[in-house]
Amino acid sequence: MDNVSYQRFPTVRIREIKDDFLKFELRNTDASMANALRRVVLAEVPTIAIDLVEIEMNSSVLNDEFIAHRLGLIPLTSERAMDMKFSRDCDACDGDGKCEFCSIEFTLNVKCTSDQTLDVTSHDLVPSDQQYPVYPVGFMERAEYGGYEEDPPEQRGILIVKLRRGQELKLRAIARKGIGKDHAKWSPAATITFQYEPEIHINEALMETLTLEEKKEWVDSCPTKMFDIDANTEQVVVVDAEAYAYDDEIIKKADAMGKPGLVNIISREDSFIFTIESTGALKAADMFLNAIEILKMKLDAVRLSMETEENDDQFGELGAHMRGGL
Amino acid sequence: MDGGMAPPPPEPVSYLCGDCGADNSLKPGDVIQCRECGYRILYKKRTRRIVQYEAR
Repeated sequence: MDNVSYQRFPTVRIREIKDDFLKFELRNTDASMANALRRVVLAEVPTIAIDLVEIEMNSSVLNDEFIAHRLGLIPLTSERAMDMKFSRDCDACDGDGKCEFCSIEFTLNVKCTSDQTLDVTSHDLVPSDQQYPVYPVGFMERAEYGGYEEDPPEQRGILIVKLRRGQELKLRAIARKGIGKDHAKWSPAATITFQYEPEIHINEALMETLTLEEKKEWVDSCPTKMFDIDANTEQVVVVDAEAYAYDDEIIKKADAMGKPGLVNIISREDSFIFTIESTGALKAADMFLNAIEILKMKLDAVRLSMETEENDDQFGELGAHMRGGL
Repeated sequence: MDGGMAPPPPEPVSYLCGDCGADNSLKPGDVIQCRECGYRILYKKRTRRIVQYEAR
């Protein structure tokens, strides 16, 4: 036991990287690590979201609670979140929203004076701190704000409420750092997926016993387009192994055609293909990097508690895992 | 101490008429009826105070 090392050296290869999307391969590790990362990105990477709303005037058709809830769900640019304090851990303030370490203040003051319906959007939320401002997502990209209908859809901002003539909405909102575990509004993730990398082996000898018609039938039986037929050689080729949804359809079809073992699909259980989609609060790449940072902090917490006497027995075997068998 | 003092005169509360929308000031005991149009449904106005909500 003492000399067994469980240490591995996982590698990451990035396939596609955009501000709000990341696709990469994670190799030389196992499902527990992949799943831990997925769960930390979803529930424990901090972002900033509106948490407290003080409504001074609201004559809109939506009630105060409804508007407060909608404000909470608006994603805010959260690059600062990792360096901010949780409001419950902050000693420097009394939680009135004026604290530079744990709160960000927004104001919204809109009144409809025309006969046209006025759309109140996330663009109407004005951050009070102009030195290190936090904005609603999409705030910076907007063109000259010409009203909801005039702007292209992606620049319209997030609709909060619509006002008719004479209606008014005036409020102060306080945004705080938080994590998805406390409330989903703090989750930076839109979707995260990972899958095993499939390895597809076609039994070429058995495949050659099929006529071209049968090959076509078999290829078309796959719900996702994994295979194709080479026009010149009339051979079945794998075009997209990762399109495989582990649905077994292609294997059932081979059995039904009386050719069991026509194709053998194995999943490599030490390699994963990850996709991360962001809400826009954080860059997808930062979400993953922050998740690793947080996972390390959590492991440090376990490591520290391990070094106490009473935990020696409890963590005996786990200790070998953690220290890599040293 | 306070027991002997008369309670402060009740402040009139402003209501909105459900029909014509006119402002109506009412004191306790007044007939609930719009002074402009005689409509008998009056609406109370929103508080002038700031109200606080958790955005959850």
